[in-house]
Amino acid sequence: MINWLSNPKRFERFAVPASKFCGWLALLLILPGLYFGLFASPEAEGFGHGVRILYVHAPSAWVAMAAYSAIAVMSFISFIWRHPLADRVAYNCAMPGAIFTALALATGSLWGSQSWMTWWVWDGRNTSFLVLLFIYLGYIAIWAAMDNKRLAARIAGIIAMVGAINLPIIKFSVDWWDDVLHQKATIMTIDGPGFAPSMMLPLMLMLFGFSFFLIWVVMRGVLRDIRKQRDATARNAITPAQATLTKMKS
Amino acid sequence: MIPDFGKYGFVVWTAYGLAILVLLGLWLYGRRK
Repeated sequence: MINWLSNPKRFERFAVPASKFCGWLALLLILPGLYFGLFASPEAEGFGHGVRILYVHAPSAWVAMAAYSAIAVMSFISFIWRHPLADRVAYNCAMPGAIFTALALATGSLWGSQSWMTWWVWDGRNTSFLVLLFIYLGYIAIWAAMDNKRLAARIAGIIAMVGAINLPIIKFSVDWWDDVLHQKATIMTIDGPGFAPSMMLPLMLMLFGFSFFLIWVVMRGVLRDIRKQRDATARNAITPAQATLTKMKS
Repeated sequence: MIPDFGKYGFVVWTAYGLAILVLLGLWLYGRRK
């Protein structure tokens, strides 16, 4: 499938309808997610209405990590097979990923201000997630700072692959360090989710909505890059008449 | 009707406000030419 999509023309044929589908699906999931999150879901015992923050905090954290995973995988594909389309996918994941990381940190801080009585603690989860934001910013800075985009892709790709070590640290930080205030894995557990269905509904709507929204943003970005590249190639192409003229002059 | 979230009002509305801003911002980012 990846091999099939690595042709820009084929990717374009696939991504134009697929991005539209993902965009509309994201809207259809996020709007009811916001409704259930804000209005139709009950208060939680011990957290009151503050639990509603969770319906934007957890999905944004999930999407931030998913985007980084995509960057790491695409960087690996690009590193082995040297395919520019994989670089474009990785590059286009970075900005939305960084913004969702910042959103997860900000909403987490708001959540902490009420449930932990502090805006920030240097626990394993918070710190590793802050490191994720810095890796994202470093990755974006490398792409922005270098004119040679092939070299930028190589260096940024290596940093992204090394930085992927942070993903399991984020995931398992709640198990490895006992002093963390974050709760342990709640949704993906062997005994099934530890959430009431009334809370799972807005959480899942937002989680899938944010995920499809990320896919939409990334696909739009890659399509834009393909078109820009094609326009640049067309501008630089020499017509047969120009070639003959150059030959005659020389 | 705007729901009353009591003492959580500020943090809940700020979190959702930020989330909506991010979604709108990324929507514009995705639509750029």
